[in-house]
Amino acid sequence: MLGSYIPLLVMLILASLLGIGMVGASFFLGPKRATTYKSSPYECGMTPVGDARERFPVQFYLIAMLFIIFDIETIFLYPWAVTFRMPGNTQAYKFFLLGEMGVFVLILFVGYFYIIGKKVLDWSADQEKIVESEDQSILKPRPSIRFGNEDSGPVQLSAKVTENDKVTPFSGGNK
Amino acid sequence: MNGVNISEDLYQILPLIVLWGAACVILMGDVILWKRSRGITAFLSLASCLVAMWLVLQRVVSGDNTSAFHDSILNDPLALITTIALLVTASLSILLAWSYLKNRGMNHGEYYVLLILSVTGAMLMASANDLIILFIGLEILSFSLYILAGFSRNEVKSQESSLKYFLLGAFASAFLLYGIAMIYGGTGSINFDVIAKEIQGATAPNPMLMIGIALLLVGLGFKAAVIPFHQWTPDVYEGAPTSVTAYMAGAAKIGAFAAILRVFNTLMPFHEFWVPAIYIIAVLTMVFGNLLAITQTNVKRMLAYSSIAHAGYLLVAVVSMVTSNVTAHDQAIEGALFYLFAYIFMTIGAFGVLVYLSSHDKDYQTFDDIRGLARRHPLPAYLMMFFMLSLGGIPPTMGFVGKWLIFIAAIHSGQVGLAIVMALVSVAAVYYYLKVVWMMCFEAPTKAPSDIPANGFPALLSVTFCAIATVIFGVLPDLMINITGLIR
Repeated sequence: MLGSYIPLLVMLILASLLGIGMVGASFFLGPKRATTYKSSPYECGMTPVGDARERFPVQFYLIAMLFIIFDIETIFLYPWAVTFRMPGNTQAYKFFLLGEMGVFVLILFVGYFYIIGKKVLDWSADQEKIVESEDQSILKPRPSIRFGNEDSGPVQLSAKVTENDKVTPFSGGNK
Repeated sequence: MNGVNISEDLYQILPLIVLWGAACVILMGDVILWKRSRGITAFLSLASCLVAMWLVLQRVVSGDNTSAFHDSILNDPLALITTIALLVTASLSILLAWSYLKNRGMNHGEYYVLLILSVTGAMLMASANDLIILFIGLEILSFSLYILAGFSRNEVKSQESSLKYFLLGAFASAFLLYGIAMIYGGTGSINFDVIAKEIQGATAPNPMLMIGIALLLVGLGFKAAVIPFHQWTPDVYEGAPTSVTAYMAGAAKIGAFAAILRVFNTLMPFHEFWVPAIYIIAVLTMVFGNLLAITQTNVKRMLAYSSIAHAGYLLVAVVSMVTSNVTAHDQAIEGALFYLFAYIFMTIGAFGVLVYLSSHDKDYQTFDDIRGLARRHPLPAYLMMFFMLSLGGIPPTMGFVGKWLIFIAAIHSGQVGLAIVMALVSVAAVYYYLKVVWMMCFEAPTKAPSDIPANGFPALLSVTFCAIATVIFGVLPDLMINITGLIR
């Protein structure tokens, strides 16, 4: 019964061996000469500015959650629509199907009115609350992280690692 | 393919439809119509639970129960009786929460809506005749409980308890789902009737089915909080708001045991394989649940371990179900159902006393809090004493009768070893239950009585109801046995 899956198993093992082998070989064999530039995050060749860990407005997550709910509604509509037009459905059965979808949409509307009632989509109220609050520090932009190479101009490629390159990454501050 | 029997199907799940509809209406009303008066929300929730209970009771009396939705839902007496227990739990918990939420500053209408939704999940679990419906019911129950456990949003402990419950619960759900997949692979069906037919006459399960049964046991064991799947229980029970703990201890356990009884009744032909596992789990649960409870200094944690120990007694009934003697088999299920009722009355009552006494800023839960309680607040202290005696299994209470029924069932089905363990650990259990009574009645209060219960009438009503039920069904157990005997 499971015999037909053996090639798949072989494939799985070969693929994992190949992946592990290639990454492992370069890890063990490859020379490691870290410089400031090499160990700084890759930003398409630009000098990185700031931290990726930014404060997101909580509305971002709320929108993401709401999106999922209403997205799933759409996904369920498709198979329903296909079933609805199946040949052989009597008129009464179609009415029943319509009623089923009506109940489904009604429950979603309950959620919709709930988020409206909870003022989830009313963003301005929250903004004013932050401005009024005593803790103003969250509104202040934080200083960007410096890598020590902002003023040095374009990177000069040299064969040998200079003393200047041996700065600990992310130490901050300009030399 | 045309929905000929759809009205009959819908009639079979009418209590669920009532509760779901009520949850939607209450949620809308709470947000849009009566924004500030949570009393209406609580009242409507209680009313919807009572209406659903009336519908279920009507069904018990009339006895017209068929399976619905292509045999995936079965309202047999086992399902109906556990449903009644669940609705009693929900109603008592709503009463408990009424004043507690106001006092603790978390009076949000979502509490009641989530509570109703979670009880529908547990009801679905109880009447599931299909592994997928069982899983859906479990998830509806669990998701609501995850949110309810973190309902005290400003408390780190409550947050921790919610997250812990969520992560471990998701893990256990995965086990359950894998088990369902394996059983489907082994038997070709997810329907209990078909599975029972498929394995009839077989003596040994095929490997796939065996793994499936084991995984299912892990998943359900987690929800029922049996050792070794119990680690989440004390932390979650302690961190969650006490009214939630009371509800969770009742509903989750009833749902899980309804499922366990049904699943293992279906898998009866393979009892040689699952009985040793449950036997060991039952012994571990009874022994360590009680021993760990002895060392606790927090009443909520102690009750959490005691609820683990009670799950062990219920597992004794599950093991006793396996016997060629039909009377003993029915006796075991009856004993388990009676014990579930006893368990909810005494556990909700004991947590309810803590709910009733909780002040504005913190939950009432340490031994220091209850020291000398009888002098400060005699009524809740004496009610608490009843629950402690009942939990310990002292005669004129329901806890004794429940334990006795399971004990007898175990002996009739030949599980004398389990019966002896059960009797011995019950003695150990009396120590820590009576320690609470001793502290309340004979020790001097160590702190100033700052805990004046503010407007806790509904909570007191709920606790009193529990106490009266504990005593009445303890003195006249026939009233309850007439109901649980319907499974015959």
